[in-house]
Amino acid sequence: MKKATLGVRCRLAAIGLAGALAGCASGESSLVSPLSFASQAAGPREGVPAAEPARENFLALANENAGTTRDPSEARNRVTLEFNQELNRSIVYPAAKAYREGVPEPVRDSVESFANNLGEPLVFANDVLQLRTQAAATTIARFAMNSTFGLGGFIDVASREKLSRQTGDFGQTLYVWGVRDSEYLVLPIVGPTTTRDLIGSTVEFVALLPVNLWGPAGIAAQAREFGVAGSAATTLTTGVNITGSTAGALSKVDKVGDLETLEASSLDFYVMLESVVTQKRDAELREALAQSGWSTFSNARKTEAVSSNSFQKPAAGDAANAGPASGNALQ
Amino acid sequence: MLPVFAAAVLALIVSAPARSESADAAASRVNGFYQVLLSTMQQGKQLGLKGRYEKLAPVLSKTYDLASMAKTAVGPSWSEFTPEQQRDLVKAFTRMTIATYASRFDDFSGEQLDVVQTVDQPNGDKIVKTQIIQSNGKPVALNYLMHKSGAEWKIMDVYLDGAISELATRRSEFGAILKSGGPDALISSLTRQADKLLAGGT
Repeated sequence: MKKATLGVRCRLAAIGLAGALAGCASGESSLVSPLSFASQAAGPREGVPAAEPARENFLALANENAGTTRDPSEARNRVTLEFNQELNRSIVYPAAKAYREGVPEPVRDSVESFANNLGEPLVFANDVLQLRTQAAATTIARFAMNSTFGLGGFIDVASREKLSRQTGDFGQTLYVWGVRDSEYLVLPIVGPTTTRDLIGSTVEFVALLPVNLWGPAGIAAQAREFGVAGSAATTLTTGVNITGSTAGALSKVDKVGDLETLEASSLDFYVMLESVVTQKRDAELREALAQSGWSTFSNARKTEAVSSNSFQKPAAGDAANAGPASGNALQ
Repeated sequence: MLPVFAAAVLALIVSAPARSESADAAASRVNGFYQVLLSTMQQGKQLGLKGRYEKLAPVLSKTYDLASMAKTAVGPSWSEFTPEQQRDLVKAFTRMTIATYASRFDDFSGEQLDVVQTVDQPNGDKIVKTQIIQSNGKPVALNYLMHKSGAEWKIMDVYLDGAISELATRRSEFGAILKSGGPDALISSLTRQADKLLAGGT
């Protein structure tokens, strides 16, 4: 299984992209080759107890590793998460509550729209790097529409015109380019991320340094970087971000209530957060890979079908068709 | 003229709920579940935590295939459980799930629970896509993987926002606890969680 995908990823590297070399060298691959499918469909996996055939298929399909990333620094991550949660409980959750209750919803929405609009140019740049032409076109249209009709970004008119926000950050770009391997990491204050995504957001942060000359707008965009790293990798309701300027912080703080609910309903919050974050991030990464123009340069299937998010029976033949379809079924 | 108009309006009102496709058994299962959930939310304060638990218990047990979910969440080590442990685990998991619902859906503030569509899967399962439209108008996507268990369609997994599988999350949690403490630690952890939720008050 690993040999087959190694060849594919090395082909991507040949196009001459930085991180791909790291991807080649590593053992872990989330792109599964047709060969592994054939062997998987052949028999039950991993000593799953005998069940009726349909159920066995379901268990075989349920990827044992869905929602987990390699986590060699688990002990340290747990400590950092504890620290973050202490900070959250003492400062951020009360601040978020005050924000939610004190500031009317339309104002909160405007702040969020403004912060999102600041990030659109970077999303566009990343979509171009990933050769996602549709996403890039949508993003540039959004930015133009929101900046003009949306009064500098405070009103999200583009979403009403069915131009929804696209994903596009440098961590995602690195993934599309071939950096598949990464470790789960919990950063102080910023929250959960992965090693690849940390590189991604740092690159973007540095890239925005000249923009600082534009004053508060530039600083807000930079602050969003660690919001992006945190938010892209955290819960669907985006993580807590207290770095930097008000725009960056407050737009995320609105969603903090759901983080509290998550903590209250979990048996082991560390594991639950990691699972939720990783699943959300994996969905974003797979979507980018599926839409990316780079995929046409390789024979790799656009999305891996072995995951608990895909229900098709593994069949080498229709795997290519199943990929995007399974992605769509869940949207 | 007027009776005709009235009849037309009446027909429209009567047919409006049928927007949620009732011809599909799986979707109507989820729809029925949502009806009970909505009425529980609306009477949330009067019922209290215990009342909500009792009201939701039958429909949750019927709609969710909690035994299979628990078994899948445990994974390959299920075969290492003794029959009593398996029974206890399913019981604890059931209790915790119902307690979570009972404590979370305690109030009604104008939410709408809509079944949007059903997607058939090649292996015979169905994905029922639904939406919770919160009081602020923003929708949350919830997709249910339904599996035919006997003659009934039951929920096997819930997908939040289309991407986050509850079963995958539970599997990670269960795996971590099983690794450190074994089956009994898992069962007592689930029981403790349920107790905490049920002691949570109104």
